[in-house]
Amino acid sequence: MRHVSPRAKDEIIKPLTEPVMLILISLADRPLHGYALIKEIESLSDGRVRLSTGTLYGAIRRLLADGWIRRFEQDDKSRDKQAYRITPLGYRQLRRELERIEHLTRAAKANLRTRTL
Amino acid sequence: MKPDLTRVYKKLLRLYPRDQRLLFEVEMANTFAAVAEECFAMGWAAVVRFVLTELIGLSREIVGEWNIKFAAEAFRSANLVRARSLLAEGFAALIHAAYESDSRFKNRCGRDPRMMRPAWISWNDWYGDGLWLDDSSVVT
Repeated sequence: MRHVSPRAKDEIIKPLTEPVMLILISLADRPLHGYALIKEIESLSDGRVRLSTGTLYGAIRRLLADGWIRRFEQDDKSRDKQAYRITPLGYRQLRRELERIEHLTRAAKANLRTRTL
Repeated sequence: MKPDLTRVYKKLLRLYPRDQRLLFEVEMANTFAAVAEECFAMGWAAVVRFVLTELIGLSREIVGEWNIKFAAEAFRSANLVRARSLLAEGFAALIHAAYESDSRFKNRCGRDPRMMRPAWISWNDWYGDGLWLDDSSVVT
């Protein structure tokens, strides 16, 4: 028997990959289109992560399918750019992932402190 | 002279599954063109790095997308087989239920062979010491 607390299907906690995490963080405060997302992610990671277009849109497709982001209707459609915005579900998942990382960081710091003593 | 990388990229996008391509082709090409423009301004080293990153990312995603597509197809066909088998089982159960419950069918064929004593087992071994009144009850 599996002792797992019952959750709705859309609320299953799974560790997020780095591109997905960075995309969600970038979209947390405002909608962005593909190119802006690449630039935002580059700036967020201090130039460490530069997503390729394929990786970015692969992650976007999966996030759209999961309902974590959605397409955002822009007034200016002349440039063929489609913006994306985070959904409440995506926001919840991001918050949970950040809590998970915080918990891990706290545990790791405590362990390291014990080791140095 | 700048090579037209976007044209090559658009051709490579054709390797994606059709549904994925229709959904993102224009956006991906536009984003690629914008990043390529920026890299050309930064110099050839940036362009080479960009092309390599894009090639690796694109090939990985194309393989991944096809993999997802094939897995979905396999899952669908496996479910179809399972559904057919469930349907057959349901049909058999329905016939069995009708046979068991309807007196027009039931008892026509005599006793249930599963309850009958095989010839090589003695009466006492099969029925024990009980006194059998009918097929379904025994009084000890």
